[in-house]
Amino acid sequence: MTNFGDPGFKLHTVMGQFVALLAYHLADDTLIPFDMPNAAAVLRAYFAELEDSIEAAEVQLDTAELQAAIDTFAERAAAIDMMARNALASNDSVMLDVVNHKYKSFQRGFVSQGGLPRRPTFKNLLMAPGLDSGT
Amino acid sequence: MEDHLPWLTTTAVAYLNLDIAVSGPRTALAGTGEIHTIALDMMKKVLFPEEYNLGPTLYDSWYDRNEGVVPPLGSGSDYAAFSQNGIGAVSIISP
Repeated sequence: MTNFGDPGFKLHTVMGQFVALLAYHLADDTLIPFDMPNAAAVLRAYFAELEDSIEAAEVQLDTAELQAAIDTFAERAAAIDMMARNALASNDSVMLDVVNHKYKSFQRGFVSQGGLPRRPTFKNLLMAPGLDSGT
Repeated sequence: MEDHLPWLTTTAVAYLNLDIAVSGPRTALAGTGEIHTIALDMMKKVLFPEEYNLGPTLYDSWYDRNEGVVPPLGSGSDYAAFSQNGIGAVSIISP
């Protein structure tokens, strides 16, 4: 570290500052600083990649239901984002509590207790390691 | 982690993973969708050491490698137990 990886440990300081700032805002902000519209954009990006893979594999797969689900999600994401901004602007503590509670449990909604097909330990329906990549 | 699942799933807001957080001057970040924005915003607030000429901020040093794309989490580090139980996470690795 001292000679090659991080002379003066300056990069360590930078990472420390970054993680501290991130942890501070996640723990202390009046409104949990999650970006739901961005979560929707990310889903759309994954979906686009899926469509590319399907095309490349030259199979027929109906993705209409998935597309519709993502559209619904994007709508709801925009709605709660608006609600959150309003709550923050008007300092409505009841509304802030509701939004924070929903934000906190956001990712839980993607968990299926049964897990993925033939891989019950991977329960998050959005992300999992590659079937044969191990990561 | 599984021993504390009921407590974690009701209380945790997010999990910050640091896996060899420094091994060189390039940062790699991966995370769940809702947390990208705050993570990138905080990178913009941290000054990067001038001598590497990658700055001025940590965000600048990261951006040109990744073109602003934050990849999803797989299972390559400790965050897996959290993300697979529905706790959003950010993973910071230095490549």
